[in-house]
Amino acid sequence: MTEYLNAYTLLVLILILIGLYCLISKRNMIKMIIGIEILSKGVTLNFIATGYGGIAQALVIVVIVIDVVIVAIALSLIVNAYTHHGVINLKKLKRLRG
Amino acid sequence: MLPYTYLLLIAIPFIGAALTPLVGHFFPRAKGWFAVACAALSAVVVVSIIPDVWNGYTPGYTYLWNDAIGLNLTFYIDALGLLLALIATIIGLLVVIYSVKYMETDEKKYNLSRYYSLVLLFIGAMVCLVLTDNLLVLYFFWEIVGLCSYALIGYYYDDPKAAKAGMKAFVTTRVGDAFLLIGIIVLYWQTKSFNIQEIILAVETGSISVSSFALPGACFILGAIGKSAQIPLHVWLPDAMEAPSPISALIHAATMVNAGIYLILRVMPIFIDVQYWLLAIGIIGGVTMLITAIQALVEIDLKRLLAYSTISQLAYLMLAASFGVTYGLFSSSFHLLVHGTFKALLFLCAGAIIHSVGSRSMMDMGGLKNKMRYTFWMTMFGAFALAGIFPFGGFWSKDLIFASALKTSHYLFFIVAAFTALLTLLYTLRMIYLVFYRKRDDEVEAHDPSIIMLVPLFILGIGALTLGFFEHTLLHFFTNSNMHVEVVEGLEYFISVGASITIMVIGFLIFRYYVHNRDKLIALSKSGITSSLYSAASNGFYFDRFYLWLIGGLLATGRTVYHKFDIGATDRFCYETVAGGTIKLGQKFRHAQTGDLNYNMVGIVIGAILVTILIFLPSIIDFLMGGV
Amino acid sequence: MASIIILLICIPFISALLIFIGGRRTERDLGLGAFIASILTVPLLLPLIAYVQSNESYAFTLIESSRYLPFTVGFMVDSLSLILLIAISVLSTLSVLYSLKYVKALHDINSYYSGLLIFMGGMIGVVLASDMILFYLFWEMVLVASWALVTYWGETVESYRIGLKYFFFTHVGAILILVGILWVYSLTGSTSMHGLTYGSNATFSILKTIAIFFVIGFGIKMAIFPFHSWLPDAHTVAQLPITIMLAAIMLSTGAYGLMRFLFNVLPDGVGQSLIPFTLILAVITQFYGAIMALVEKDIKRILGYSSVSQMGYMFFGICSCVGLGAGGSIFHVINHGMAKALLFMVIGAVALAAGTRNIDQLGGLAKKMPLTALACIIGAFSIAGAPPFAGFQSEWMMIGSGFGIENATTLIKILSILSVCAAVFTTGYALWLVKRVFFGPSKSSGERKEVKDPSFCLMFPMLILSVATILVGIYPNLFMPLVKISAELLGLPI
Repeated sequence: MTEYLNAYTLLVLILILIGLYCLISKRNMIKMIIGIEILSKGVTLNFIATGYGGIAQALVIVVIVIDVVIVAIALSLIVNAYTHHGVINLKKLKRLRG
Repeated sequence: MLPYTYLLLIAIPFIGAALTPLVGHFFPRAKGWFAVACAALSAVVVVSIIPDVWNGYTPGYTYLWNDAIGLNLTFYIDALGLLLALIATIIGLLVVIYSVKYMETDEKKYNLSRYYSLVLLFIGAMVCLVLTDNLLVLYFFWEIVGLCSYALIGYYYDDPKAAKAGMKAFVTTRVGDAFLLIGIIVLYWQTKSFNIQEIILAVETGSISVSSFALPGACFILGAIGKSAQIPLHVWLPDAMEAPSPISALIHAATMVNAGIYLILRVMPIFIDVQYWLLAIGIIGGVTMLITAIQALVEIDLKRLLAYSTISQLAYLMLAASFGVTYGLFSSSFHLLVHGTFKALLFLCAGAIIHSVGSRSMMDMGGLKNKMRYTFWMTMFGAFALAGIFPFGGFWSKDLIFASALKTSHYLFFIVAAFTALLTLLYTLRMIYLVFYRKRDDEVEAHDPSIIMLVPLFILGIGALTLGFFEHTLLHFFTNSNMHVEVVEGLEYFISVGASITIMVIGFLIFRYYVHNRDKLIALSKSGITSSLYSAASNGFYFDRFYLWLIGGLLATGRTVYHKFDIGATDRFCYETVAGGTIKLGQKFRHAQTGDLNYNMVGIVIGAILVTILIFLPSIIDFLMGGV
Repeated sequence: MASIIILLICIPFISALLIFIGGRRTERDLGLGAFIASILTVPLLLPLIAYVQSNESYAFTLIESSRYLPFTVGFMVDSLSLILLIAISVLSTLSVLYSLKYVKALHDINSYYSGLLIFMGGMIGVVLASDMILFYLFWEMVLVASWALVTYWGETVESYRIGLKYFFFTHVGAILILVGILWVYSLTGSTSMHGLTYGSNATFSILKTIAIFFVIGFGIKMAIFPFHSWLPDAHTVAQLPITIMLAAIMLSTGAYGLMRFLFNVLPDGVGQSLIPFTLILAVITQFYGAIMALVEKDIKRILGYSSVSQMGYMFFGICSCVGLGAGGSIFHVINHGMAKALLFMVIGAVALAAGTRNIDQLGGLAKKMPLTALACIIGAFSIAGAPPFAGFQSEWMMIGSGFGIENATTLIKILSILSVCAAVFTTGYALWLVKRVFFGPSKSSGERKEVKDPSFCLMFPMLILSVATILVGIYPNLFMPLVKISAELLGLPI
């Protein structure tokens, strides 16, 4: 399995782990969005690191665009939640349920 | 023999039984006489067979009925079967005549069609039972007579005692019946035949070994003691006295209870070589006759007294049967005939008395001698025959049993039989005394029954008086029918006659003492060790109590098992373990569905790690192995 | 012949559909339609009877197995399935007839009737299917239909809980059967129920294991101890006509399945190898049911336990693997069905009239309900195996079969004797039931004004069954030729 071990992969792993850690530990929704972003950037980097040629580049561009869209929708949801309930903390938002 | 005899034998009583309700519906007053006509026709048909059998011909015929399994209605008519059939039809006829008047008062409350229908069904089934050669068909009719007995004991169905007695009778005899069925089936598998004569032939020619006959032999004995009310299955007969008196006379004295004895006599050639088979029969008879005679001594219910007497007399038949084919078979059959006659007579007389007095307790009777003159004399005839007083039938038949015991060297059985004869004399005299002679302070209203009821009494009375003289005629009848039987003559016979006369004298002396010291004896029965003996005897030696305890224990166990198993184990398993366990398991997993994003992320990460490990596991193992 | 068989299967299902749809459209009670549909199946049996008596069996394939259908849709009628068919058609018809009057005030009455018809059609399918998978499909259809009938039209709120229990038990049984079927398929490469050839990989121990699966699977349906506890509950909670269907017919389909799979599907000698084990279960069941019937207070439960005990007899007869026993069990399908249906109808009439099913509050009803009392006595004696009623003819065959087992050990002999002795207990509870309900002084419940013999619609089925019980009892040849052929087809000649 040594062929997988290079600087890029290491960086990808670090990015993914940071993103996951962020998703697990943070209650603030904005911070979670940042976590998701870090995670997806790790994935994107992986694409670039392992894939060569046009298809990979095209895919990466698509991924980035979709990422932006996700962030935009997620942020709009958070803004909506904040205007309705006055919180951006996930834990507190959960208590409002039902 | 009439043309179509076999068909008529079956058809007349059964079709009569089926038609009685119809006749009763359209001609309510005629149904009794319709039943009389059917019974009379049956009797004629049976009587018409006598000449054939007398001339040494054994009529036989087979109706294919259920050929697939060998259940065929095979007739085989010899002297033994015909004798029973004659008793069943002739006493049946007399009883039906008697019933026409006796049951009249029940017309309003109970439907008499049911009564006559069942009586005719009984007569037909009894005749088929004793004339068939097929063991399974015998069992079939054996159960039908039990069924009739059940229905007629419970005739007064709204009387809880009668309803209970009927059930008790059927269930108790069913214990014996179950064993009889085992016996029949085991015999079938061993000999591949249900036909008695075929089996006898096979045994006699030695084509099958009797060594394996112990189980069916024991089963046949158990079946017989159930039907013939021998210890320990005798408890149903005293209770069966809840039936109308004519039924007690017909079914529970003269015919059905003899079926067990008949069975023993019929299969005797098959099992005669089985070790202890005869001895077992003899012991059962000996024990039963003693115990029930003692019970009869202390009984105050007239019909129950007669019932105990019947059991005791049936035990004589069992005992006689144990003397083997040559001497036992005939002495047993002869006493069977005589006993059937005089016991039917006694029951019909008792019916007349009870009908007139309105109570079954002998304490409510007394001093009836002059009020019921004819009944009194007929009762005396029956009682003398029962007690074995010269020249009544019982004297001759009992002497023959005594003599056969001596001839076959059964000295202990002789002593038991003789002692029981003494007890029989005593309880008979006590009965006569209490019912007819005892002085009462108050008057009991009673009168003789009408002529319709008296005619059967007279006929049976003449029978009780004279049947003893026909001993040799009957013997010829049996020997003509190819049965190897003999009567005992010579020294043994004279010893028996001497014994009988001695018993008679002793009995009368004891009775004299009893009449004069009755109050003293009654006081004695209430004190000391005699009181416990007395209460034991009047409680039927606790057989009933034992059975009730047994059944109660069984039911209690059943309830416990129900709570422990059906509710405790199965329901708990079903509802708590399976259903409850599923719910609990679900509750455990519910936490996974909280909607908490962080929580879910942990799951995702753990899952991802696991999947990664799984994917790379082979590589890791390779790596490690390669490292080595 | 094929068209008759197809009609037999289709009539109940199509009429069930029609009644269901019709019931949605109109508010009317379409019970009469259900009755007509069910009685239509009876005359269809006559040509089958004539055919089977002369030609033994008739089989045909409707749809061959293919890529899209992993089993064959084929049917077969022989004398064994014909006997079951007679019981199913006649008793279902009578039970629908009984429903017309008995369950008038039920909610969703038309769905009830269509459920009843599916129940009936499923059972017809079970006994006619000649393919194991098809058999299983019909088997489950019976289960689902009867579960719905027990649960949604139950007499008490308990019915949901008990319906669950019923479903749980019988479904476990069905799964065991399915495992057995698939195992057989893996050994033979065929799902047909007839003429299977086993390869060399089918060792005796494997076949024995499969047989155990079948015995337990069908044993659950027959309510064999210790799998019996669904039966009294389900019988008690279901509406009376449903109880009749369950007790008088559905249990017998279990016996049918056991016979088919043990003797036709599995090779000879497999059933014999299970003998002490199966006979022990049978004898325990006989006694257990009888003793529980003595203990119970609810008359419907008494009869439920009586069914347990009777199934013990049939199980004994089948598992003894002797022609006499198998024949007796086949015959008992008819006799038990008649007697049990009769008794349940009597109990229904009594409960309707007296307003209670508690035996302590009943008594002395013979005076006011003489015909019902007579019917009850006939049924009780038939159950008790007393001549001249039908029960005797089959009961002695079943309990006598134990003595015909070759090379019997002492244990087997003792079991055979015990199984005859169980007849005493059977007599005990049957007569005690009659005595406590109909004889003796009448209790307060008997003083009600309604206490009288039921109306014609309820009385007529009882009358038919009473007469038939006596008729078969004194003329067993009505069914014996069929029974004999069936036993021979199972490879166990009488």
